[in-house]
Amino acid sequence: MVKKMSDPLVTVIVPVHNGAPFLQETLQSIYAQTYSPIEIIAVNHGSTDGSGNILSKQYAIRVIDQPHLGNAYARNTGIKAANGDYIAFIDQDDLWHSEKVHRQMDALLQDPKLLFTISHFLSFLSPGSSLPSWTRPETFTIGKPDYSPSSLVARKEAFAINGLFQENLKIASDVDWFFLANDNGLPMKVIPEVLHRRRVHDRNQSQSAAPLKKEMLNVIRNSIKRKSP
Amino acid sequence: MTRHITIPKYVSHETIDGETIVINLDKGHYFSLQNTASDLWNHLVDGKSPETVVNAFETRGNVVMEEVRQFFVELENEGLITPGENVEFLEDNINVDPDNYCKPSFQKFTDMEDLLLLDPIHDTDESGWPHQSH
Repeated sequence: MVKKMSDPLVTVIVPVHNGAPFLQETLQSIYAQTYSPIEIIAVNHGSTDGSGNILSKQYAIRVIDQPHLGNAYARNTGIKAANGDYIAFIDQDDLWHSEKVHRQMDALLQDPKLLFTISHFLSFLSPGSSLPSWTRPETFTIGKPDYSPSSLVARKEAFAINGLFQENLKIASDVDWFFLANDNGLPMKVIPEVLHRRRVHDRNQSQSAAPLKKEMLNVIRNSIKRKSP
Repeated sequence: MTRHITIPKYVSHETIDGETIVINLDKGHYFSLQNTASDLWNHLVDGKSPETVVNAFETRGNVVMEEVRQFFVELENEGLITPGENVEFLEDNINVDPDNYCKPSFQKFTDMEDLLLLDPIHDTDESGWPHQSH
């Protein structure tokens, strides 16, 4: 591992909205990181399930409370409040390998040209849950590149260059950010190790997929426009 | 007998201002169809069989009809349409614009395959793609 005399500060941003069931476990996986120094910012946007109480009992987490305006808004709040020159995110129910930040920071520190890294991920079934029909079984056994915020470790300047997450996109703002980064040619690296575990659980699914499809199509339409001469 | 097609559930599409965007979430590929290609796609979306659409270009001759037929083959090769039911009735004529015909084709993009393969679109909430609703 690359170890410098003073490793740069990494800010880990955790958007929280009614994340009580799994939040403590997620926070534990941040505490277990071998990398330091880390600051943790939890953006609690409108939780009503006791997530705020869980956060208030944590040691050395900055908690920012704001209305429930979506994950993009919450992530952007975290970015703007970050003291670190490097930013990572984790969703409120996911888990990290203990060396996630370290391995991705190694890559960033070894190559100053890189603006962000992602890792591979595996899905895991939350204990007590049954496997939802919509999951891809191979994501439980085969690590794949993980274009999601929970995998992303980035230089803060990546957001100055590529922009923040689009807050008008309620569902696909992270997809849009990665598409834009690709179209802008931001130098990045995939760390081919499973460093993020994505929790799958069978909550009630009451919302339609239609809004997501519409946003996805819009994101892709804009990307194609950017690519076209 | 006229063979119809179906559009698989893992294919999403939308047409705005004459351009159709199609996403194949099973393969992680996305496509842009413009002009005649977009029109042909939407004839299929409207439930017309490929044969009916091909025949609608009869006034333009065999070369054009074959181009239209081949375009549908390419859509099927990309997994964007799949064979459907055979039906015995003759379909109504459809409105095409043979004078504004241009050889149909599509742009195919594979650069974001890993992202688009993360999960099928299912019920989600504002947690973002591809998370399920809480």
